[in-house]
Amino acid sequence: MDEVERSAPSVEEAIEAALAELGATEQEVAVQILQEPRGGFMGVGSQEAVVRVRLRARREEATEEDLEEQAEIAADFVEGLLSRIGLVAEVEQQVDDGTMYLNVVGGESEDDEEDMGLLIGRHGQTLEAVQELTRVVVAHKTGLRCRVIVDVEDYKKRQRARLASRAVEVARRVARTGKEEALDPMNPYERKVVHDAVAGVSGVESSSRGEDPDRRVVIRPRS
Amino acid sequence: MKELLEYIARELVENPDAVEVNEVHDDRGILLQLTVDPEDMGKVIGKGGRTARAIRQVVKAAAIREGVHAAVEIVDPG
Repeated sequence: MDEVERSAPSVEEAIEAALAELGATEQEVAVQILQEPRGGFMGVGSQEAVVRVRLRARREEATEEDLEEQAEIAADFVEGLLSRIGLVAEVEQQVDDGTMYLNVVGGESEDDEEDMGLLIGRHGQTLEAVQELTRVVVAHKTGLRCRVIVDVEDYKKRQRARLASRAVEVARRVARTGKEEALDPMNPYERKVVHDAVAGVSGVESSSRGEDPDRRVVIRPRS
Repeated sequence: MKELLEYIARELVENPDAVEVNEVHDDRGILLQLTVDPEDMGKVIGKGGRTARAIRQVVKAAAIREGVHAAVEIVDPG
């Protein structure tokens, strides 16, 4: 998926939504405004902004050294954060498919397990916050877009695997029954995981439908 | 908690020397008032308030661990 069209009350919001969907930054895309928003009179004749956002060729991949530098900075930041929260844990670094992956691993005791659960938070909220801060810190210190993923005890990896296998299960059912199915609403990252997983099943295709936060993936038989 | 917030803020801003955290205790728990260089306000708030939300989430988690309630206020320099 290299191009999306999104609508929103303002051009900025529409672009932002499209960027989230593509997982891209403004520097990596070409934006075409298909329709300017119009206020209308008391809601009559108003129209939303519609934009088409296309991914340009990705900038050159970060070099190995860039990635290592980012990982160093990210690991230092996360370690500093953990120690100030008072958590005892180690930060492991792995390179996976050109992405640097930092995995926080806690101790074996029950208290340690509770601590890691706290660091993940409800629905992974705290982990997301740690990732966001790490991203900003790395971008600030290197001037490069951060490509480091922060995880706690492989939480995200496991979530992703679970989501992908659920998607494949539904896709196979759709291929068998010939009836389209819609999945639960998901964020852009989750939708991408699902689209990628469905692409591996023959006889079906997927697309996203609806508006955030209700935007969901629909899997249907390939026509 | 104060030290954690100071640490995060100093990592984010251009001018770490201007970062200050004032800790106020009230009946609801701890209020952490964060002051940064006015030029750095955007850095701690982030696009659409994303960075500020992330800061609050992390501080909240740390507070839960200590069994206290903590809120973060970013002091408007204006």
